[in-house]
This record gives sequence, structure tokens and C-alpha cells, in this order.
Amino acid sequence: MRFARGSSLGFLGRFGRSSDLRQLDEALRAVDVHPRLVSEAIKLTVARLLKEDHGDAEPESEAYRRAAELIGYCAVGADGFAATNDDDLAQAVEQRIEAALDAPDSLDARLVLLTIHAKAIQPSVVAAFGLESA
Amino acid sequence: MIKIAQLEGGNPLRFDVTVAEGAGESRHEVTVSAADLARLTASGQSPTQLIEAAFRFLLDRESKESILRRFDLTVIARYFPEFERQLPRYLSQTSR
Repeated sequence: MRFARGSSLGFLGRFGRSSDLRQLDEALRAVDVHPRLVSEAIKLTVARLLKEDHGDAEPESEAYRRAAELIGYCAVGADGFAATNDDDLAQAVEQRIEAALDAPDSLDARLVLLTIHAKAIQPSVVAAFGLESA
Repeated sequence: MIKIAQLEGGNPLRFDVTVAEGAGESRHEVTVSAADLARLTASGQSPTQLIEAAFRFLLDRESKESILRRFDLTVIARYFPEFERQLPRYLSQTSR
């Protein structure tokens, strides 16, 4: 299966999986969020958003890491994220979500919105930040 | 080979797990609450047997490098929904 901009799920999510999705999987593991907790549809959209944000250039690994932090936090919630990551990182992600509320066109805002639309965000995160997708 | 060492502390129980398989080793820190331990080892298995069974289950599905560095045992069922259903079979194969 191939999608726009070169992202490829490969076969059984393994063989032939494109570099962007593999980088995103690794970035999720780095924040102790198992890649299977995030749907392939979300990962494909994240990869597309990152490329759009980089003017269609290949995003650097730092971009995948930052996206994984935000997506992972939303996927497992504050307690789950803090249980396996240090407090500084959890607080940094929370500050990014706060900032995204004031910058609705930012990449972070679009990533958070993606998790809301995909119902891949913990209700506790929605409640804590008063997130709405209207 | 799976080496398991229980770390100090109360609830949740914490374990340092080393997996040596193929080239190199991987290390993991796993937690399990007393309540989950009692629920998942209803047949009287030890905490170490539970952790070993969980890792054998994971290693049947992914490489040691793909196993998360730190996680609570109950998280496994979120990304492998069959975990708790298949756990008894893996528990029966662990050494006491």
C-alpha cells in the first residue's frame, strides 16, 4: 500500500515500511509509547503534516521526536506519560499543548486536533486543557 | 534468556528485566500493582513467573529491541489485546 508523499505501510507493517513511519515508530518507543497504541492512519497523517511543515522536505529526526512526544502524551494521558518519562518532559509537552491553544495553525495544534478527530486522545487530556475541535 | 530481578519498593512491584537473545541484550523496567499481580496469578504463580511469562509472550510477537524500556504490565493488553487471554498458557510454561 502506498500513500501520498512516499509514506508506505509496507507488508504487515514491517517489510517495505517507509522511513518516515519507521522513524515515527522509533520516536514513539523512545517516549515508551508502543507504536501499536497509535493507529497507522494517524501515523500516516502525522508524517504528512510533518512534511507539509517542512515545505515537503524530509523532516529531521528531531521533528519526529517532538511529534511523538505530543501524540504519545495525548494517547496515554498525563499519568501514563509521566510514569515512563521524566517530569521535565511531561511539563514541556503540557506547555506545548497550552501554546497550541493560542496558535491554532501551528503544527502542534494540528497534531493535537488530529488526536481529537481520531478519538486517540485520553478524555483526561481533553478535560485538563479544555480541548475542543469546533 | 530472560533475567528478572525484583527491585526494592512496595506497590507497584518493580522489576529489572534483561533479555539476552541473539546479539546483545536489552533491559527493561516493568511495574505491576499488587491488585493486578493477584488477578493475573490466580493460580498461585510467583511475581517473577508472571514477568517471565509476559516477556515470553512479547518475544513471540516482537524483537527484544521493540519491547518498551519502561512499562506497566497491564499496558501490554492495550496493544496486544490477546495478552490476558493467552497469559495462562505462557504461565504454565514458566519455571518455578
